[in-house]
Amino acid sequence: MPLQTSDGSKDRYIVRSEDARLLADFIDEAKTDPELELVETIGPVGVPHTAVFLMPHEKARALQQRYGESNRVIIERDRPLSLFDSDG
Amino acid sequence: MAKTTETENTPQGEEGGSSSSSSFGGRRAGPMAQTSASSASAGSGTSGGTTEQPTRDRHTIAARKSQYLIAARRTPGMQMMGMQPLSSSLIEQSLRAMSDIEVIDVVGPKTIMGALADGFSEAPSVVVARMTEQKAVALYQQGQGRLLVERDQSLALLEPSFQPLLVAGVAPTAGPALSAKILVTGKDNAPVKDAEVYLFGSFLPATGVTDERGQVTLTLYGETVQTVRSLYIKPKSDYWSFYQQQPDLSTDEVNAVDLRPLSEAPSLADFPAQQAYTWGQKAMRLDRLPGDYRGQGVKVAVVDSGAGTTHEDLNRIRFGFDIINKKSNPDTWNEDTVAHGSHCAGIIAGVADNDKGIRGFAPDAEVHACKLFPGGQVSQLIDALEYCIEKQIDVVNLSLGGVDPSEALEQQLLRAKRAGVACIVAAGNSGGPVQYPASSPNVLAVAAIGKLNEFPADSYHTQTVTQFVDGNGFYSAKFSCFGPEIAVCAPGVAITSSVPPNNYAVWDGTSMAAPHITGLAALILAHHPDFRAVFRERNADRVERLFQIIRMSARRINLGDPSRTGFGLPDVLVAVGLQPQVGVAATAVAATTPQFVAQAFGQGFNPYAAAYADPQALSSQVFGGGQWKGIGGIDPAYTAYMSSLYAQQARFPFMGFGRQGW
Repeated sequence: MPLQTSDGSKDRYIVRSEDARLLADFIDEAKTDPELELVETIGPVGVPHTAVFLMPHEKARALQQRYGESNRVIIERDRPLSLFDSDG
Repeated sequence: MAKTTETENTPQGEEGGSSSSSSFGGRRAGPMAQTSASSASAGSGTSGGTTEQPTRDRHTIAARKSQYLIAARRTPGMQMMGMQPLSSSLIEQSLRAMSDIEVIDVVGPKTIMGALADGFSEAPSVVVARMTEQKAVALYQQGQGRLLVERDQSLALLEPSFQPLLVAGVAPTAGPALSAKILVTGKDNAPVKDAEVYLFGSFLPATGVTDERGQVTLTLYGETVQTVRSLYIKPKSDYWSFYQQQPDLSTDEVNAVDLRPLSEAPSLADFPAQQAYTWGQKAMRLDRLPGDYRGQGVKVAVVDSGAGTTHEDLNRIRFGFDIINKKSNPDTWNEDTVAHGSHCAGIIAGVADNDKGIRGFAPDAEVHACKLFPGGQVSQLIDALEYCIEKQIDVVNLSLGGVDPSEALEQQLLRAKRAGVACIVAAGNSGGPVQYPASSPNVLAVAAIGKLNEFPADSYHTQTVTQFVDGNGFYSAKFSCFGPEIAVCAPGVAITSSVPPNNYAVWDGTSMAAPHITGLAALILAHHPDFRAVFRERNADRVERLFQIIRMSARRINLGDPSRTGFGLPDVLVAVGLQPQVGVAATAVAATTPQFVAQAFGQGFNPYAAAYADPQALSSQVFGGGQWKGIGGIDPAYTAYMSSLYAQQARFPFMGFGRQGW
């Protein structure tokens, strides 16, 4: 089954940091926030660089503002991809 | 500045869109024509309904006739050069003698004064006649500038007071409705099931899928037979598509379409029983490569919709990862419901030793199928690239993308490159700027080209053609994205490859172009001496060197716009180091520098702009210079107008294949 992209009020967001410790902190903090739902992590075992969360758009905007200045954590909406055959 | 040239295959003044002088066979002589009674019944019902109906009254779809105005061209310039306009009576007689033209009326001056008013000795008249668009184009070409051929148009009053009043509410089925039954058959008149059928009117198309009898009924609201613009039939596999502009649909009879088997293509004779090289592989000279060059030892990932290993050309694929279902069943990478990944994988690594189907570029490469579709998202592409880094994949094929760049994905692409993973990416099919991730500086972007005479004239592939064709018949595919990010181009129109369960299909797309380069990249990594020595270590330099070799091996495609074809079409023999680069070596070496790229793609470099600024030159390119020589009084603006008009409305008659042939 394809992964859920939205539960109605929440959308999928990618959170990425090249600093594994920073991402780990983000994930720890997210566990205490009921608005954030961790879907998966991507990266080498134990040191992921990317996490996928379900969260409301407003929450994502707030987090983007909070982390935007540091420029060390990327938070962006997960977007669909298309295949490039003639119908795609 | 590079100039486009007329294709060698373009006939001039050919009769009625007849076939070119190429070796292509003609369309089968109407096995469905008239009253073929081999099928017992025809059904109806949208998307595969099965209402029984007798099928004796079948109608084979051809081009619909429209009304045109034909007259002798009369300009003062012609008289000054001692040229007389064509005689109106001669035009009328000639038109009446043509069986495929119906003369409706002849409109001329009512009095002798009217006839003499413009100084010509004969009463000028306009013939109103019905004919197909192809015939009209042929007439125009044969007239060599002395004949006006225009489509008759509806006139409208422009007074605002005559505008209809706006009304509240819409009754979608209240207007006229056109309902057409379509029967799709193939070899030996067998019904073709699961073919997608599209009927285009003035707005959204009606679509359906043929049932087990090969039938579907489509309904277009607010349309009539005369307003239907086109009919497109896309078979699932084993046949060429069918496309007819202005089809002469019947609402009383079953409209029969007989699809061409793939083996009707001269290059695919006895296919798939006999293994073949596709036109694209030949264009890149894969067929000249020694048999032991097979990409052994190189790992290639196809990040796509999986790979159907039930296929005889794909049954050696052993590795993969279903990213979509990774939590439930990551091993379903070998189930490809979309068929796209299988098509790409076949181009890259189709089995060589089974003497059937298509041989891929690198049949001995170790292929990993990373399944991302249906439903792939950016985060899952990041995940797929993580798999590639982990498995030490050498080349990744990405026939996918989106409109918006992703910073998170960009970081992963950079990470992959530093790990020695080379990403080859399709440019996109929107016909606009290069899409992402092809636009990333960390990948190699591939545009799509087609080649004339490599597909039937009644197939949908004709819609990919533009009027800019080089001397070898190559053209930039109409759908292909373009821009300074394009590194090279590759065959991406009418590409034959494997689809599940064990069939072949001919597809278009930059999706099909990218795997040509991915397969080539695998050959280079396996066989070019650089990668056994200096660039053996997996890192970004290795990837850059690979990209550089691909670019340097390219032969220029002379379409006058490098943003559409990049460095050109790579050559396999040059790329693997078996032959030195010819012709463009110096340019290509220089072109690897950022300065060259900036110069080549910088502002102001637009050969098309120059062509458009000179309509006569443009006309020469489109129609061929020779045809227009010695004709006085041709108004360049008129020439340019007609050129653009016919280029828009009837592209394929210029290209050397007609309804009777390819």
